[in-house]
Amino acid sequence: MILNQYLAKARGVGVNVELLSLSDLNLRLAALVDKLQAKSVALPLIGWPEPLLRTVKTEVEKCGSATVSPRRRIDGGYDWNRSALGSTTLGITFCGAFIAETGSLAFPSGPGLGTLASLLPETHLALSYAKDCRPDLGGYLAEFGADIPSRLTFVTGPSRTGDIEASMTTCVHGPGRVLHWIISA
Amino acid sequence: MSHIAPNFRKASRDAVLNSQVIAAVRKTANLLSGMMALAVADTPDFEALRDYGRTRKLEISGNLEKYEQSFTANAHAAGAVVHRAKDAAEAARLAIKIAADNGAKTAVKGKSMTAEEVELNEALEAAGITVTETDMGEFIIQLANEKPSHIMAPAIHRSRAQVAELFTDKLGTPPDLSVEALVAAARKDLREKFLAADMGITGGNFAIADTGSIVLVSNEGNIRMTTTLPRIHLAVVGIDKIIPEMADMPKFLALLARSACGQTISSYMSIVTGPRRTGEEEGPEQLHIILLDNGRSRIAKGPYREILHCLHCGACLSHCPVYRAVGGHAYQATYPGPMGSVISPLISGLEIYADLPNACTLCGRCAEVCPVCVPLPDYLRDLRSDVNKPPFTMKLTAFGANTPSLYRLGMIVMRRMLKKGGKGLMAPALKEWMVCREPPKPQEGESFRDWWRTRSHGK
Ligand code: SF4
Repeated sequence: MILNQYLAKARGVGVNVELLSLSDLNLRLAALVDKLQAKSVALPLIGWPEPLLRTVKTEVEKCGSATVSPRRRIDGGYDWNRSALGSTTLGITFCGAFIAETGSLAFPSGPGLGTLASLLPETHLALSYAKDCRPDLGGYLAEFGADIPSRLTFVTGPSRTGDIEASMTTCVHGPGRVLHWIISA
Repeated sequence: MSHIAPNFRKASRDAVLNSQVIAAVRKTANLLSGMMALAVADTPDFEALRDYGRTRKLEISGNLEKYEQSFTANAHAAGAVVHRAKDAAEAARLAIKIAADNGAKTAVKGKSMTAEEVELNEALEAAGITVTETDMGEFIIQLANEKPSHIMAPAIHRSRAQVAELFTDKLGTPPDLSVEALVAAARKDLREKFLAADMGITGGNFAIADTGSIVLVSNEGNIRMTTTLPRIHLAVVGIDKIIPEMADMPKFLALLARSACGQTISSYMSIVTGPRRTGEEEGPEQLHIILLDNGRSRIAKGPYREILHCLHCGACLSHCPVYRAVGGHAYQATYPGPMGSVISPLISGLEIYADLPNACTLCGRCAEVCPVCVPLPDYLRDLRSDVNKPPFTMKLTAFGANTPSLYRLGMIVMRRMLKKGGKGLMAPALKEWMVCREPPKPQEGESFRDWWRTRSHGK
């Protein structure tokens, strides 16, 4: 029910949403990386369910693409290699919460979570599990209680502007293409 | 913008004749109001949301000090440095000091009307800091060396062809580019600036008291870049943007996004709570928030308090017949249109913007569309009587209209005059009114009064 609401909303704002079974993932990833000719892919390594991350990372590398991820420092913190990140054409992130009411993907910040992977490349692919759909924004925000991350980002469709004659044009500063693959259990 | 005495009468007279600007403004204003109408029609409980917005805002504007204190304490606890600026000059001074203390030489900036209000760019540039506007509309008008003419769509007065010409001139792009190509050119130019900038400057759509968060929405992604990439983030936020709780935000956001451009939510929303935390690879090392008063706490105590409820959605501009006829620049104020005609004189002084409350037909459309029901027409009318006592001719007219025999006489004279094309006794008094209008033609044959008289006698 709320998943259908999400699908309608997200498609309405120009997100390329698909329901996928886990067994299709490898093939689809390979096809995408190939289509975009993505030489390097931004891929945060934290915040993923372990097996899903392994599948994605292996498949991307099998396609001959390099992955760019936040690097772990000696003190335990993380760093981006900004110039490497800047040259990625595809960013793949795990999205642990998406909102039916607004059609939004939610990305909290945190060490290693690398939300810039959903902003700098021209194409952004978010992967989720169907069970992570939330009914509304208010309910999701309430989950945090007083413990709000330093940056909580909501992505609802591609980057766009209506600033020239109100004609909607995509890919202004962020990705012009947002793909959301929802893996059904 | 206080350097030249604003003269709305003259500026609007010139503006109505600039058919290119007016056509561009109308086209975009029509699209924006169309998109809003669709989104509102798609939201069955929109009226209930508006009621909530108004009631909640009344509670907030009545307790501004309390919520400001709570915001300051919570933002501080989250690691932000909160400054308070009593006026525009102090805000500019603070911003320069923050930049200087950190050796910042370049800044990227998201669209912020509050920053416009304090003329932040001018101040920073004068202090040797290069500021680049990154919102597409703001980027265009910065290249053109203009001021925004709409609070939501700053370059509403420029057509695609004009933007293409400007880009060719300033960025060396090929002539007559399409909208897509123009956007791509801006993306390329700005990407490097984002990555290199020392400081990111934004406004804030909401400031949340109970968490100390700043909420920023944008469709382009420039706000995310500005708040994530540079090592310092400075947010300039009017104290009117404070809302009590995180739980209030989704409702105000729903009102704002629908009214601004017919969306459920903008493409991007960033909730910023303090600077980068230990171990994080992203985010600024320092977050500075300048809370701007600039007359707001005074306004909160006066008769025009509800203007502080404004969400800056721009709906009242796009729907206003005066704004649509003259465009934003004619107002010669940071905030144009109905909300601007109320807030500008309240912030800068009624003597400076005495004309603006008159830039209104009292048609009431602004109040009808306002997502938080700001009583704009009432305020504009009250501001008129604050400006001056009614002029003698108006008093005379009022006396005439209240005296049936004089009124009848007046109507007979008026019909005679209008039959002659409006020339005669009254012409000098109506001179200004006639500049851009044709006087109405009286209907052929008998007048309504004559007809009424024969009809009621015939019964
Ligand atoms: S006064 Fe109302 S309609 Fe006008 S900009 Fe403010 S919130 Fe929008």
